[in-house]
Amino acid sequence: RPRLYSTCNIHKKCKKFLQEFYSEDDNGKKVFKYGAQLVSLSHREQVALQVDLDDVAEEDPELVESICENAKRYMGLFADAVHELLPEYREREVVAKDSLDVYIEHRLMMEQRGHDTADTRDPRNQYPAELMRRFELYFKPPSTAKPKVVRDVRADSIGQLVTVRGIVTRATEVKPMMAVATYTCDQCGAETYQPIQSPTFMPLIMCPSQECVTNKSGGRLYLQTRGSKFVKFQELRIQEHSDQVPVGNIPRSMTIYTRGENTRVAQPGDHVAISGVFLPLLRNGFRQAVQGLLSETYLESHSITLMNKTEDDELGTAELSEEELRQITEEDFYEKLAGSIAPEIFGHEDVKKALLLLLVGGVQQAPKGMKIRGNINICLMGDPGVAKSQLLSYIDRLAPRSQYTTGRGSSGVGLTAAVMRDPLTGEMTLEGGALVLADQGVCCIDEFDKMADADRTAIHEVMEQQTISIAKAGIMTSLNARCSILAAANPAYGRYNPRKTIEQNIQLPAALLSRFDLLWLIQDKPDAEADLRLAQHITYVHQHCRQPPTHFTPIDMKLMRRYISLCKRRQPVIPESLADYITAAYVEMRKEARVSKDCTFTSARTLLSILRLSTALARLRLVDVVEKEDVNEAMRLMEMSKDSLQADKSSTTRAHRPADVIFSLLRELATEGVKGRGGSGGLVRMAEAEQRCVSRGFTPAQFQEALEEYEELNVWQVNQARTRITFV
Amino acid sequence: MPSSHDWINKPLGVVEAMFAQSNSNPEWEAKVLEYFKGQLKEKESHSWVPSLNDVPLHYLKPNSLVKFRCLVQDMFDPEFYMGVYETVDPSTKANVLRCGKYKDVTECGVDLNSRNTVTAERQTFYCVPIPGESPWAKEISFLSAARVVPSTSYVPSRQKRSYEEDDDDMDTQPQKQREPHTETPQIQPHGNGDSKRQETEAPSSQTTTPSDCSSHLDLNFPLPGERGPACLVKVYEGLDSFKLNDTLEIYGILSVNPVLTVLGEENMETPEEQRAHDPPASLVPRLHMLYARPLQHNNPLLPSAPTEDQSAFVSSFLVEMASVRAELLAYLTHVLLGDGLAAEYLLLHLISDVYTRRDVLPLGKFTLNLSGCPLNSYTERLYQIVQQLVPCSYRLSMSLHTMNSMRLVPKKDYVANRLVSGALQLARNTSLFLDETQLEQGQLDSSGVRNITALGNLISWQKVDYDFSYHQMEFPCNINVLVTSEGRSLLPSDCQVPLQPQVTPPNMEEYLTTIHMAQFTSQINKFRVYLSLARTLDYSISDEVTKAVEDDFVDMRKDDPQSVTAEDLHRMLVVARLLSLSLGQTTLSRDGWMRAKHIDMLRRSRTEQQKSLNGNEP
Repeated sequence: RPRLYSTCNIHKKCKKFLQEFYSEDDNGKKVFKYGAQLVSLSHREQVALQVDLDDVAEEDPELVESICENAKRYMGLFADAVHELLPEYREREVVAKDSLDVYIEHRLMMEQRGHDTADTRDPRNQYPAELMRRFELYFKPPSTAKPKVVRDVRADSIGQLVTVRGIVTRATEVKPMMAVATYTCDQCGAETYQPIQSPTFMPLIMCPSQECVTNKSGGRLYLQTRGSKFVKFQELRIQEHSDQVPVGNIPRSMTIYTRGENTRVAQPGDHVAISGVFLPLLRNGFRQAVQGLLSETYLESHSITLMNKTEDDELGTAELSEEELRQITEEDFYEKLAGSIAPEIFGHEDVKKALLLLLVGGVQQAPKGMKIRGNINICLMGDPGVAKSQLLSYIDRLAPRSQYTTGRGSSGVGLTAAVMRDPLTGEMTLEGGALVLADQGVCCIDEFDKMADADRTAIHEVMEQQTISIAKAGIMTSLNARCSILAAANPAYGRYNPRKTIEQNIQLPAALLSRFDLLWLIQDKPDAEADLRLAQHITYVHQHCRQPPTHFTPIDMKLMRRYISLCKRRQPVIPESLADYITAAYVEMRKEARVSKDCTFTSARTLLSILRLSTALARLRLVDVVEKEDVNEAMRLMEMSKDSLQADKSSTTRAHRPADVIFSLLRELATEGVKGRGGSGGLVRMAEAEQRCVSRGFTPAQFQEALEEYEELNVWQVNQARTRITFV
Repeated sequence: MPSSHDWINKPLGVVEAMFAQSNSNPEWEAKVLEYFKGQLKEKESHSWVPSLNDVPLHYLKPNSLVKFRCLVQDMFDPEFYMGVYETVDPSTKANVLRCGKYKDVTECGVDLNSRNTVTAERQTFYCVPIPGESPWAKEISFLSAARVVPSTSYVPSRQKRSYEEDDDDMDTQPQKQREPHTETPQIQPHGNGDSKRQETEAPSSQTTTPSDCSSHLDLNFPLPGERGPACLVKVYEGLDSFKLNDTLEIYGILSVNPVLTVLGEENMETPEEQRAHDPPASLVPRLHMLYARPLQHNNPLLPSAPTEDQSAFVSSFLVEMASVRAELLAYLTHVLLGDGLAAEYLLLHLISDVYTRRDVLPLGKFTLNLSGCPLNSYTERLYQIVQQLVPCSYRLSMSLHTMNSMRLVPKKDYVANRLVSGALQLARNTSLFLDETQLEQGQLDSSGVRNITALGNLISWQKVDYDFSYHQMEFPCNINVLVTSEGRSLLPSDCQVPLQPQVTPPNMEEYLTTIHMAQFTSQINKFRVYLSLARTLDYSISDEVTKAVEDDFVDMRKDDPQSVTAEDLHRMLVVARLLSLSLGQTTLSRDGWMRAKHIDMLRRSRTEQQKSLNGNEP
């Protein structure tokens, strides 16, 4: 239990704290934090004084406890202390700012004069403290106090200093509220003051001054607007965040009263953290007598902090602890992270890897003012019922900032931005669409193919330039839409038709397709082993009503979100040494595209995609330099995505074993060598061969296997040092 | 029957006596709850308590114990009240501690500055009668309640007439049916009951029916055309155990003090808020909850609490299960114009239930799309028959106009600070009958698109995203959706059955009427019990059968990969589950699996046929 202080004692304490609290700056000089503020308060240059309870805790931790328990009382005590101290800190004559200042000055002079003549003033006509003060005093809760959820603020919190978080759902206009009513008597001319605490008050009618009472002159009081004190007043209503609400409950709300400097801080829709004193509303007169049982409550605000949702996420989640980091960055963390995306969806490892990279994003480059986006765009295509939508909605939930829309439900205007005319003022206003709202996040568009062509073109600009330009009805502007686009589309004929070409199947314009870094075709193909696993998975769910145990536990969504935000802070660069390697790989891809009449488009954009993917991979490893593995993995993903599109061809002819494909690759390489060097025989350098294979999506292990297999068949020979392959 | 029902007539007296005895020992609160719970446990005692659902408000004694069968439509912010307060006795001038629980208004002379005042917290739920409750369910629960004399001043002619009506129904059923009635009999008891109700409620209808006073006060019923009392329920204990859309039977103290209305004035609330939160007590009574029983179902023919009573009932019914199923199947086959397969599926659909959720995926949902329905009000008749079988249902005619104008998704109104209800705010296991045959060509506006999306979400995920303007909140639900359409429905569905009528009656109405006539009330009641009961049975799959199913799946895929997908397996497992349950079997047998596979195959071959007939429809 906190020690009980006598009022007088605390008063001294407060004064001492305000006068003597200091911190040391870098040079070891003492900085009197509150002293300096008192000076500006006394000169009317500052209105609000915020007492940081962390500072008070340095002096007297117990006092902080008492303040938090009974904040309203201590607020008064601190205000008294400030009021007394102010004259001491006044360094020069203050110019009156408004009529109330003049009034106060006059009153002080009157009081002075009253003292001179030793005429004791009627205590009832004494100036109330509220009237003479022009400053506001607020507490800043100690940083150890955790913000509460609205529903946890209960009856036992009444009178306490609490911090709540929520979204503002209503804000009234700022209105002047009477704090002290001043009356003058029509008979004796004496002034009477009435401090007002509640939202309503009963005006005084009869003059209470000595003169009127003794003479029974029946002086009437008249309200003086200019002499009364008004404060700015605004009522807010906040509501819990949706993630703070237990399932199946309605979000609760709370009324906030803000006064003075705290008004006009928040608007409806803002995410805020508000600290203040939780108080019952005082009633008087009839209502109090009749109702009795109920009391309404409100939060008298002390400080309001605006926060956007992403910041909010970060706030609650400081740095990742060592252990959490270890949990993530253990071996095969890449697979693990990818597997943790939509764990309820079976298989599709590579797609999940790609989605993981989309969440992390590549590094944005801006050489010489040219902006090259870092965000990765992915398009998922596939037969109906291959869980595309589930993947999308999972990403939507996982990404800290995201918008989910369907192609059928959105128009180009809804996606980009609309210019609206305000019906009241006739002003033009811009309303952001889904893409603008997803700025710095992910925009998931389901049923991409169902979108009208005209609407789809609206997002061309977004996908490459990451801005939305508007030139409509007198508004010309460019909005940021730095978002990754994750689209899902069905093949044009409902199901993927192997007899049609890929372009016919997809039916999206090339201009759009090339803007996607990765295109995946998710197909439903038979495979006894996979089928069995799938069947086991499903029957398990039906049998036991829960998820089957997996060999790894998926990483918690929150942890994942934090790790991704950590990754995003890295800005890895591509070292000079890798440039040649990437260029060579790109040239290779171009060449191949020409040869194989590829249906996808290998263009300069492909090169950029590789760069983006590799930087994203480097980010994922939390390093600052891209390594060769990253590039390889990026190319492997590109290759896999292309493979997924071509998979049908191979299945219609015959399935290629990896070894066979590697063989044909090597032969190609060998013949190239022959052409290049004028027939030096089928000789391939091992390093070169491996590189080529890896860049085509084969693992080094597969490569080695193929090497041995064909060596046994005596198709080629590998030299002793295993550096060269010679075709027989 | 005890002659004095003090605990029903003057529950506050009981509470106060216990409070006085307790000497402010906090345990008294639990004791009060125990006491009432104990009283209600006694045989039949709960039927002595008058029900707000049946008795008009003005016949009920203020401050007496009443019960209310309802759905939690909205939850307001908690309010703080004086749990204990001090009054000054005017005669003795002594200070007396009083308890403020279960009350809205205090006596005069409250000492507001007393140190003994205890502030406590309670919450208000806005409750409405269960939306879409079938007339028969209302009727039966009303009649069963009327058998015992309620302890109210309300002993009007209505009851006697109900008795007569009741006897009449029982005895003269066959004659009645032979009478050349104006309307089809399936709606006849409904219409009849309604007119009765209207008659007796006439004095109050000016105030209680929403149609009359909707201009002044919107009682916020989820479904249009609903009536009955809405109620503000003050909840004191176990706040966390209640969820939105729960169906409850609440026992509480009725409070209709007119002062409550005056209290609403001069408030920190806006006028809209006031209207929503403090409506006149004569329209929306306050109920101080003493005891609430969550309802698994609202079928009055079944014991509602999981007691020994119920298990005895279940085991006795299980014997009959197979025969009742056969009868019901025959009945439904007739109704579905002789299509046995469709009848089978309809039966499975009617007992389906979301039994668990895996992450986002609800398990056990079984949305049925009956395509190829004959036009000309066949679907309407079909709905009336379904309505006769299930305790809760609603038919949403998906015409363009209703889709564009109706509010399906509940929306938070921040001005009035309440959740404005929508037609998708339904109790669990409500049958939602979507009539797509009513749809015509035309333009869907944005709210129409939103409504269609909401229906799609409901069907695929069994959830409704309530609109909170700044964000959406997901509310899981458990609604049986049946879509009737001409072709394949534009909404997703778990399985589509094209109707293949075997008979083409020249006069559809007459045909269906005769089928319905042929059923005795006792028969229909058996069907009702059967459908509600089959849903409550437990179910499990043994490892052995699981293995067989897995192998089967792999085999099927081997032959033709396009033939079965993961989704198909999901569905077949659900079909197998429902099929077993419909026969009263609580485990899946190999036989059951084969049967499920078989009927699913039949259904699929039928859809294939349909497809080839219609050309290459996707």
